[in-house]
Amino acid sequence: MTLYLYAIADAQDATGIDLPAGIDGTPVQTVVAEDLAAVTGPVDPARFQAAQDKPDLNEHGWLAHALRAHDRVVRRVFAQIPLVPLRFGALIAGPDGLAELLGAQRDRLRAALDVARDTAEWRVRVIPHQRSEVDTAAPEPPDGTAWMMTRLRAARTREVEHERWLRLASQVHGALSAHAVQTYGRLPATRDVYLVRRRDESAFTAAAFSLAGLLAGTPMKLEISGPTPPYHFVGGGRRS
Amino acid sequence: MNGTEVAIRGGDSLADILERVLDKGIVIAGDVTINVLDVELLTLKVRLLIASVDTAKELGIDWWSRDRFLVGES
Repeated sequence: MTLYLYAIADAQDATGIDLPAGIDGTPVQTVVAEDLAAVTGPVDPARFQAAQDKPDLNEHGWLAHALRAHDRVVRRVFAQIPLVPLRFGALIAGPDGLAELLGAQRDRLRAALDVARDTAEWRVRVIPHQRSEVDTAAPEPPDGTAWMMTRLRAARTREVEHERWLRLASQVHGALSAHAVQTYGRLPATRDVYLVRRRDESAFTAAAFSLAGLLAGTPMKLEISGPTPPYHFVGGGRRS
Repeated sequence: MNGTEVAIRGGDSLADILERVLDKGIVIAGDVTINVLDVELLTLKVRLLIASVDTAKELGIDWWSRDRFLVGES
């Protein structure tokens, strides 16, 4: 029997939790090995083999179903207890293999659980959401020189907007980082993910809303999503 | 708020799920794993899906999406 591994939790947290159906509607259970609990369930490996051979990227195809099922299970459990989410596609050769895995990788999994304990990740994007006036309302130039000047002005406007975007993103990053344990992303900081302690989430979201004043009058918007399981931080984050 | 928006989302659009589930999360390795799924290859292919117009709109990406420098990926 092939087992699919959704997440790892602390064994002492994993009793009596609500578990949704998994990939292809298969039952999900927790399997305990010493102080770790695996959130796992049986799957048909042939479906995964087919996904590898010929990925179905349709939003309603099997792969999208399986990805959503993985995320649904992880998020349902995450809503109840701390966990380490696994990347999609972890297939184990039966219960003995699972016990072997949990034993062999115990230290690494415990370390990841320490990062994930009582934290959640929040994603923040600073996104331009309006075209500049030059782009949207430029009159038809009367001749070539005027056309060139219009193009130069438009390019300069875009450059200024770009610089302002990066500056605002940097300010947003600085303000929100104060409420986070770690951040994940690359410069420029326009699309960052923050690892936030659950007790600090109210302060984090309040800080995000207070940044509305910073963005007032700019063609930018701030988009926040969360709380989600700490996917970005359990495998080693970047730019903390 | 004079053109300012702060939007809070649940983070469960397909693009969000793909980015988290296919690209992040802890990876297990060892002899006990049945290595039937090339997640790295799938990640590359699914990024093409993320870049599709509809999904890009869902992400809030529009005219600047053609600027490689502007579209950073986390």
